[in-house]
Amino acid sequence: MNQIIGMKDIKKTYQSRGVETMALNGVNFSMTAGEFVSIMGPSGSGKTTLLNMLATIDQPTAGDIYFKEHSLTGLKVKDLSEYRSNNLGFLFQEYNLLDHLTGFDNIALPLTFDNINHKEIVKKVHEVAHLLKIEDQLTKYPYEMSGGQKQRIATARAIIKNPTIVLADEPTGALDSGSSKDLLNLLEYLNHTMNISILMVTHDPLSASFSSRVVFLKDGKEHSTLHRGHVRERFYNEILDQLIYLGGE
Amino acid sequence: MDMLKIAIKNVKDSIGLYRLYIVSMIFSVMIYYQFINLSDNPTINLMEMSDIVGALTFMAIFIMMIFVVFFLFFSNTFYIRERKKEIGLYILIGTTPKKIGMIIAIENMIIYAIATIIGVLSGIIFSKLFIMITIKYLNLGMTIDFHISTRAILQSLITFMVLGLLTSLNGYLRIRTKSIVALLKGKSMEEQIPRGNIIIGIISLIILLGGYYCSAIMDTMNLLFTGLGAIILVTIGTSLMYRSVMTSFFKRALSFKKYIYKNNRLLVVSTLMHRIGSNYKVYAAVTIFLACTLTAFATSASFKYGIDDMNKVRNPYSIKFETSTPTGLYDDLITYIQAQHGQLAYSNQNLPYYVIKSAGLSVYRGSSQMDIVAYATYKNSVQSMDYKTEKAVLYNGALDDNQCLYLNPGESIITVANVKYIDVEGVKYNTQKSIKAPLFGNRNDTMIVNDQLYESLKSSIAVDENGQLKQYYFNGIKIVNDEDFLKIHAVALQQIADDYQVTLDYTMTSLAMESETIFIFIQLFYVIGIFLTLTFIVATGSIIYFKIISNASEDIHTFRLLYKLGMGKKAILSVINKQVSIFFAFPLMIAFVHAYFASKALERFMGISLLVPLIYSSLTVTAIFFLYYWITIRRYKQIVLS
Ligand SMILES: Nc1ncnc2c1ncn2[C@@H]1O[C@H](COP(=O)(O)OP(=O)(O)OP(=O)(O)O)[C@@H](O)[C@H]1O
Ligand SMILES: [Mg+2]
Repeated sequence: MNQIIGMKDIKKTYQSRGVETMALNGVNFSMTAGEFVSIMGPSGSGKTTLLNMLATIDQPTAGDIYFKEHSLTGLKVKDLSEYRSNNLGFLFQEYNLLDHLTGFDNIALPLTFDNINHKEIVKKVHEVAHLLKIEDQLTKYPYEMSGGQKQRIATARAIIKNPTIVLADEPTGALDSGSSKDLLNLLEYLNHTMNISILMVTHDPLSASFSSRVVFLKDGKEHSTLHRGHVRERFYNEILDQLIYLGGE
Repeated sequence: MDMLKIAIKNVKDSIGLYRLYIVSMIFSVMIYYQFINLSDNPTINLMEMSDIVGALTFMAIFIMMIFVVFFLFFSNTFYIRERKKEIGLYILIGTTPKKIGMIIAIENMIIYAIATIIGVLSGIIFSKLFIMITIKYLNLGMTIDFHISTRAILQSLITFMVLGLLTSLNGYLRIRTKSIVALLKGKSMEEQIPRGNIIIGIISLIILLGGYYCSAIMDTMNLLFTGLGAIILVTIGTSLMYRSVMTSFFKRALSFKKYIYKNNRLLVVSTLMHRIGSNYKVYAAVTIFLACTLTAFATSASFKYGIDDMNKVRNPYSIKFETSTPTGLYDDLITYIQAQHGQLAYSNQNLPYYVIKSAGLSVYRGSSQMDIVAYATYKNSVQSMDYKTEKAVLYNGALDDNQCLYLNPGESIITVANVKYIDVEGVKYNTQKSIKAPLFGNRNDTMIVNDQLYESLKSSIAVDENGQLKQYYFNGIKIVNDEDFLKIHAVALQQIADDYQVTLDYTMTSLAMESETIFIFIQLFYVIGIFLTLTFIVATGSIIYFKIISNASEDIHTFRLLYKLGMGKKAILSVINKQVSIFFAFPLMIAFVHAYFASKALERFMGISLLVPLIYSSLTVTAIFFLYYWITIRRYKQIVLS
C-alpha cells in the first residue's frame, strides 16, 4: 500500500510556565492515498497536536514524520513551508478567512505566494468555485457570508493547489447540522472524485461516519480504530458505541 | 459619588493605556503656557517690537491649538473605541448607558485635570529653566525677568478645562448614541471595509485644491478668511482623501489581478485599504499634524537663517556717523584705520538723505518718520556692501516721478506687509517694490525715489521753519574683525571725530546679536519653536505607533494562518515591513505637499525663502520617523511572531 503521510513514535510535550504537558505519547499513524480518516477522542487527548505535527506547524519532541516515505525531520523552515504549500490543504473550525479579502481573493491567496501567472490563478479559482457551487460568493467579503458559505470558501482555498491531503480540524464545529452535512458531502465528493486524502479531527459521530476509518485517541495515545463497512448508519452506531465506551472508561 | 469612585479607579487601572495621552497632553499644556507667558513677559512688552513678537506668539498659539484640538479629540475618540467592549460589558450587567457615559466623562475630566496641572507646573518650572539656559547660551550680560504670568496660568487652565469638557461631551455622546450590540462588538463593528467612491474622491481633490488656492492668495488683508479657509479646506480634503480617494484607489488596484497577484501585493494592498479606510480620521489628523509640524519647523529654522540676514540689514557698519554738511572726517578715519593696519570690508562716504516727519503708508507702521534717498545713492551703497540675499534688492527699470521703492530697516524677519504706496504731503507715490536691504542700518523706514524727484522733493520738504535746507550726510565704515580693532582704537578714532564735533556710533556685528533685545527674543522663539515641533513629531509618531501596535493583536491570527497556508517566514517579514513602512510613509508624503503650500504662503510674510529650511526639516522628521518605524517594527514582530 502506498502510504502518503505518517508518523512514528511521535512524542510531544509542551512546556509552559514550568508545567510540562504530555500531549502525544508515542503515536504511530499512517494514511494511504485516497483515504478519508477521522480522528476522535476526548478534549485534550492530543487531536489538534497530532494534526499540527503532520502539518509541520509544530515540531515533535521525539519521533519522525513521513511524507511519501521521506522523513520530514530536520528539514529547513523554508523547505517545510514549501512542503505545506505544495502538498497540504487546511480547514479549521473558525473558517480562517482573511476579513479584508473578497471570497475570490481568499481562494486565490495560496496561489499568489508562488507568483503564478494571474490568468492561471483566475482560471483556477473559477474552476474550483464552479466545482463547489460558490460562484455567487466570490465578490463578497467574509462578513457578508454565512458560516456554511465561509467554510465552503475555505474548502475551495484548501484544494486550490490540488493538495495530496487536506487536514481539517473540526471543520463542522461551528456549523448547524444542515450546513455540516453539506460540507461533509462536499468533502466526501472531493475525496471520491479528485482522490484527495482527508484527515479530519471531529467530535461529531455523524461527521466521523462519512470517513472510511476512525482513529480514537486517548491521553496522547491511539486507543482504537474503526473501519467503515458499507452502510454509513451502522458505522455511525459503532462510533457512538465506541465513544460511550471511551467516555465511560 | 459612587461614579466618581469608579472613575478614579478606572483611571488608576488603565493608566497604562492612557500614558501616551497624558504625556502628550502635559506637553501641550506646557508649551501653551510657555507661549502665553512669553508674550506676557514685561521685558517684551517694553520693547519697541512688541507688536511683532505678539503677532509671532499669536501665530504659534494658533498652529499649536489646531494641533492640540485635533490631537485631544482624536485620542479621546480612539480611547473610547478601545474600551468599547468593557463599556458594553458594564451595560450587560445592568448599568445604564447614561451612567457609563457619565463615568467616562468624569474619567476624562480627571485625566485633564491631572495633565493640565502638571502641564502648567512644568511650564512654570520649564520657563525659568528655559530662560536660564538661554541666557547662558546667548551669553547675555543683561537679565530677562523670571516672570510667572497669572494670565498665562489662568488661560492655560481655562483653555484646557474647556477642552476637557468638550472632549468629555464627545465621549459621552459617543457612548449614548451607540446601540448595546455595537458596544459589545467592540472595535470590529466600525472596522468594516470602507466603500471608496469616485465622485467623493474627485470632490475631495477639488476641496484640497481649494485649500491650496486659499493659501496661494493669502496676504495681510484677507489673512483671517483665507488662512482659516485654507486650514479647514485642507483638513476636510485630506480626510476625504484618505476615506475615498485611497480606498477607491486600492480597490481599483485590487482588481488588477496581474499586478496584485505578484509579490504578496494582495496582502499588503488589502491590509492598507482596510486599515487606512477604517482609520481614515486618524491618518488624516496625523497628516495635518505633520504638515503643521513641518511648516512650524521650517519657520523656526528659517529664524536661524533670517536672524543673520536681519543683523546684516540692521547693522551693516562698524562705525557710522552723520553730519549736516559733507566733511573730511571720513577720510581722516580711513587714513587712521589703514595706518593701524585695520582691514576695510567696505565703506561709504557722505550719502545724502533727508527726513520726512510724517508720511502716510498704505499699512500702519507705528512711526511714520521716513528717510528719503535717491536711487543712485542707494544703488551704489548696496552694491558696495556685497550683500547677498535671495530676493533682488535692486530695481530693474526706471522709477517714474510718481513712483518709489520702500526699504525696511530690517526690524524683523517677517516683512510685515507689502507697502502699496507712500503718501507725502497729500501726494501718493506708488511703491514699485518693498525691499529689505542694508542702507543706514537700524534707522527709519526709507523711501527711495529717482534722482530728479529726490531733488524736487528736497526743496519742498527738507527745509526747516527758517527756510534752511536740512539734508544729512551718512558715513559708514565696515572693518573686518571690528571687535578686535575697535577694542584698541575706539578711543583714538573718537578723538579724531571730536575735531569735527561728531560722535561715532560703533556697532560690532557679533555683539549686536547678543545685546539687542529683538535678537534675543527671536532666538528665544527659535528655541521654543524647535521644542514645539519636536513635541509635535513625538506625538504624531506615537499616534501611528499606537495605531499599528493596537492592530498587531488582530494580525497574529492572520500571520499564523498565512504560515499554515505555506507562506514562508521571509515573505511574512517582508509583508510586515511593507505595511508598517507605508503606514508611516503615506502621512509623511502628503504632509510634505501640504507643508510646501503652507510655506509658500508664509514666505510672502517673510523676507526669505523657506525652501531650504523646509527641506532640512523634512529630512529631520523623516529621520525621526525612521526611528519610530524601527521601534514599531520591532515591537510588531515581537507581538506577531511570538
Ligand atoms: N501550546 C500549548 N502549550 C501548552 N500546552 C498545550 C499547548 N497546546 C496544547 N497543549 C496541551 O496539550 C494537550 C493536547 O492538546 P490538543 O489541543 O491536542 O487537544 P485536542 O484533542 O485537540 O482537544 P480539543 O478536542 O479540546 O480540541 C492538552 O492537554 C493541552 O492542554
Ligand atoms: Mg483541538
